[in-house]
Amino acid sequence: MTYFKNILLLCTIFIGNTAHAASPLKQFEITRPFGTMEIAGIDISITNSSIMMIIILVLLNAFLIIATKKKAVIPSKLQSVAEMSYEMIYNTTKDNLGKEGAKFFPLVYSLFMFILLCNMLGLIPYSFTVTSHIIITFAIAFGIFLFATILGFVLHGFKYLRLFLPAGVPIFLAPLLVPIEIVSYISRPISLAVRLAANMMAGHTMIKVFAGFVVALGIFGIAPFIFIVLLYILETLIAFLQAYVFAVLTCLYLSDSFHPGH
Amino acid sequence: MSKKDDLNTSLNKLSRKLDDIKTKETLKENYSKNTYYGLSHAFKIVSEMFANVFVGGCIGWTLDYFFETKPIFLIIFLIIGMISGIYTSYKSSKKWQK
Repeated sequence: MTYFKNILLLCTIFIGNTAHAASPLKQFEITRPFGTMEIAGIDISITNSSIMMIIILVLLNAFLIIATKKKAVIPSKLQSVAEMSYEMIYNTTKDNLGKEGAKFFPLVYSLFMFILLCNMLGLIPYSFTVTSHIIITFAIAFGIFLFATILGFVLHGFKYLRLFLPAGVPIFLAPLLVPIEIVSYISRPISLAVRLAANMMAGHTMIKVFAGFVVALGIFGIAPFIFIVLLYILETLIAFLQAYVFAVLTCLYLSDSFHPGH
Repeated sequence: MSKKDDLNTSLNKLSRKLDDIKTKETLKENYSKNTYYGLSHAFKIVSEMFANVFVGGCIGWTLDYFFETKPIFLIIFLIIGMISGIYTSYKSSKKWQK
């Protein structure tokens, strides 16, 4: 019992003392390695977050270009990874959107690959997890939300509002059901953004907290060390899963703008 | 006659064995696929429940702010948010089970 108490105490010390160098929240700090730049009062300086995003975009493009350069019938390892990711997302898009929606495949695929690389590269020590900041995930999610809404209105006009009153519902239930549907529609980008950011942030904070235990416990630090190794496996799974969920939900929201009222 | 019977029984055994392996493999595949989808679905439901209540609270607070009817809309929309959280997760579960 006292063991757990000590662990709780250590937790509060590590999380509470954010000014300390070993603080688990220090890794999410935005820094400006090239100094601040301003244009008309707007901060446009290059932060560690934007550097990480540029690295990810360069890596992503280089990977796909190199992997698909040879176009061999019997694919090399690199090519088969690229083909596997392509096929997986293509099948998800086709399952959710149908043949007509397959033209949105580039959007879904680039979203998936970008988020996947953000999550995966963030797991490397001393790197920066772009997706752990809610403003970034919210910007992506809100962009998708706006796009899906505009697409729905373009395709169906004002009939798109039928989304808020599903077919076959008696009219006296409308005053109750319409606010519920509206709330659930607006909550889409928030649930998308919060899910990704919270998962990434919670996982990284937990790894850092247990890394602090390794140092603090001395020879007994082997126990949290083993735990970190296991946690890393879980985090890798979650990093992949969150990117996949993001892609699937993008498909689902786009499919709602194709077929409202289902 | 007995030779033919032997052959038949051994053939039957072989086919049963093959069937067993086949069902085992499909079960394995389905299991890994289902856990994979199930985990992503669980993440989806959790965040939906949270986000619906949050959005309901935000809408209620904003309406109160504009109409100066302090707690009324907040309470109404919080309850609507809770209902819609459960309603959306119910709907998406039904979709997922298909």
